[in-house]
Amino acid sequence: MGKKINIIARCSAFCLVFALVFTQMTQMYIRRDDETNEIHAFYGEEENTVDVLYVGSSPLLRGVSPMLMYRDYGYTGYVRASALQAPSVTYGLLAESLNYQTPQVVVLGCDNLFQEYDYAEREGDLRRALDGMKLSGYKWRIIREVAEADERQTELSYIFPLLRYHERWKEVNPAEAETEPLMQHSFKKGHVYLRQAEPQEYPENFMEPTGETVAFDESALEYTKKSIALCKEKGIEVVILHLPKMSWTYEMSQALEEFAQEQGVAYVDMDREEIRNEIGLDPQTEYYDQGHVNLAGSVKVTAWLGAYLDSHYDLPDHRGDENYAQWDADLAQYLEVSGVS
Amino acid sequence: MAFTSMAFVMFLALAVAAYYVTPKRYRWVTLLVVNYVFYYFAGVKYFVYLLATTITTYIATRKLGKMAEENKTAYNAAKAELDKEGKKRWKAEFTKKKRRVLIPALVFNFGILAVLKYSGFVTENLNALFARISVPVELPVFHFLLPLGISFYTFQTMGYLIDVYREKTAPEKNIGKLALFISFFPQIVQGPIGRFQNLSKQLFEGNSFSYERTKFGVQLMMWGAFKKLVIADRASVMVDNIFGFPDTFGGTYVAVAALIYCIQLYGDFSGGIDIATGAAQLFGVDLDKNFERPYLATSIPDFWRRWHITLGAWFRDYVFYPLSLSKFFMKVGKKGRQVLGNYIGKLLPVLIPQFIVFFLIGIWHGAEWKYIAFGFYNGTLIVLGILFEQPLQELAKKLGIRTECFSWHLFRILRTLVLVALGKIITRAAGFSLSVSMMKSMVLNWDTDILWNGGLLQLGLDRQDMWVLFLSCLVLLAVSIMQEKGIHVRETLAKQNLYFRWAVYLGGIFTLIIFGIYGLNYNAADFIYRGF
Repeated sequence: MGKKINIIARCSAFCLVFALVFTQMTQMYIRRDDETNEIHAFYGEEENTVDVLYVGSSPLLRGVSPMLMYRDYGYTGYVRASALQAPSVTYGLLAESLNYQTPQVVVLGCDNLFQEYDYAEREGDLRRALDGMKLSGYKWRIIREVAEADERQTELSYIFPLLRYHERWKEVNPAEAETEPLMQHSFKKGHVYLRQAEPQEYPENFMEPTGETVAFDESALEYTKKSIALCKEKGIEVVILHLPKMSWTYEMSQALEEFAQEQGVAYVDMDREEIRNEIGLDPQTEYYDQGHVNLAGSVKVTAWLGAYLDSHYDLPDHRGDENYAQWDADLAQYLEVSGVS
Repeated sequence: MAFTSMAFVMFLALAVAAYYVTPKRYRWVTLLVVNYVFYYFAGVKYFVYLLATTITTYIATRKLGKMAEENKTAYNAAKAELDKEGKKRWKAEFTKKKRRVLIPALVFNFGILAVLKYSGFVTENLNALFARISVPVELPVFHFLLPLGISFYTFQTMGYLIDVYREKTAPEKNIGKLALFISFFPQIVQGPIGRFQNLSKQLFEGNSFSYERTKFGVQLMMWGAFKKLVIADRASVMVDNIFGFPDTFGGTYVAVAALIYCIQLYGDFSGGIDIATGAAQLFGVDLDKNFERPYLATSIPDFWRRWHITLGAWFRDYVFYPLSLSKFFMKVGKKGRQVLGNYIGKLLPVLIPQFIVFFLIGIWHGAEWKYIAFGFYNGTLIVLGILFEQPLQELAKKLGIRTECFSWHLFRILRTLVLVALGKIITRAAGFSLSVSMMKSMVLNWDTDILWNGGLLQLGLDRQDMWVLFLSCLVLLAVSIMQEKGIHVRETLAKQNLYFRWAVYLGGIFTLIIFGIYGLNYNAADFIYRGF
């Protein structure tokens, strides 16, 4: 009996040491993209303190600053967005977030509704979001879906990212590698802005009817419907948001608006002429590329969206509330680092 | 389910758990179910072949067993009345009767293997021949997908059948147990080819759990995975590049390719065998040894005693000895002595069967001309080795060469390695004629500059990967030398202090995790011998 206990104790101790080294190695080799860190830092927010939650693809990531809205109106927000986010990930992130926060409004970025999502082609984009998510039933379902769609990707490599990132041994210098976990708290609240500007021009006849037929991707549509249903079930208002994008068309805009109406949720299209004029983006200086605004552009986009949300929903003003002192500190840091005045 | 996949690790863990929670007397049943589940993952349609071999072997061996019993009774009754000649006749008659059972079973089972593996090759070549001699016949050509491990389990099962025929082993009465012997999953993929006498007891009696054995089993599996994932799959990048683009990489590159392919093949095959052996140990089963540091062999026969040992032993016991000791070859020897003189004539009953064996080993590897050429190559080397052994010894004596020192030993190892590496070019090149032209290029365009001018870095591995490969090979060599000197590495390690042991274990595990070639960016090469 004593021998057995000894063996079990030794095996357990070995497994523990192994797990510790494995965790350290994972942290050493894992990719630390800004959006991965931001998605992860969401867990650092005190529970039930986020008033508006934004989920979706990169236009949200680049274009929406919850901190500026806090500065101007006092309500809080967090962006859990990532480049080319899969609809399944958007749904998973939303559902998971609602276990931590009880937002009044959820803003869904729905730019990706018109394209089929190829898991085999988009491994990097998937990992940018999934690596930031804690393991949960939501994450597991996404991983299963990915692994079933692309047999080269395995569930285990998402659960234990070292099995994927071990290939980075050549580029990571162990002496200089970070061994800390992913970011625990973010002062940017998910706004990963880009400073560079690339002059853009609106395409000829931008947002004018052309008669082209557009179709939603069925899977993407299903996930969006599920997201909306989930919010409704929890009594959360939903806004479907389209952020400025040069490749957007009148037909897409119409189709999305019809869908929003069908679902009984709000639709905001920042490429519609009246809103575009109100925002007043300068295509020469306020775009990063055709599909994303830069920091200066995001200030304007946020100003418009902030006012819209403030006027349409009964969002609280937490400024000066002691319980939100951290938000004041984060705002100060955000303004200092971003240089936004 | 590849041995180095997570799926296999999980399957194995579940199988081991299922085995030990089963009451001892039923553990063999659990193991059989596990084997069939494993085989099911390889493709359910292949079950037909496995079952056909199992059933026909069962019927034949049971019949042979019954015949042996009846013969024994009848012989004992009649023995007193038989003179020496009569006893001989009785024996010959009985052998003839047994052959009526043995031969159909052998033909049927080897026939399945032959049809699946070689019919496409044979019909293709016959069609080419008919076309050349203008015979208006075109045979249909079929290329079958080979059932998992068919070459291995067919040889293992036919070995058992012949042993029952020779009355070296009693026939298994329980078809389930026979099915277990034929389908034991760690070895069905790529061997080793087991013997019924060695395996039956271990497989059929429920083994008790042993911590030490399990630990050693896991360690052996890790070592095998290291050889496969860190060494072989890394080496394969270079090998694939050179053999894939022989026009670009000629001259010294061919020599590099041959050498690296030797490393790859050994890492791949012996790595797979280590995983199989380690996995079997988890069930308390010790498989036969299949490798014994083959690249430290001092001659070609020595190499074949160390490489794929169980296949060599199979051919020795079931082909070489029956041929060499047959009446026909006895006559050949006698005639040979009259015509060719005593020295060569005496060797003929050895030389010709040896040549046949190596020819068969060659085609066992695959249905392609290059494997036939490989068989001829090895057969020729063996024959020349036997023929010139004595004259060369005498020559060395005359030249005053000391043959008991390290330098001579090293020379013999290197000479053997070169000969083996040349043979590897034959099997790895896309075709036999291509291998010949590669060898020609190696001789005519020899240029050692590529070793220093960065030429090796054009082969798909960068400097860092080269270092990993080089250092891993050094570790492999060090372990091989320790084993050659009789040091049992796992046992020696087990005697060290806990901190040192754990450092070695963790170092090994993380070497595998970090430097192993696996994951999305790599299509980890399947085990090469799995294809045979």
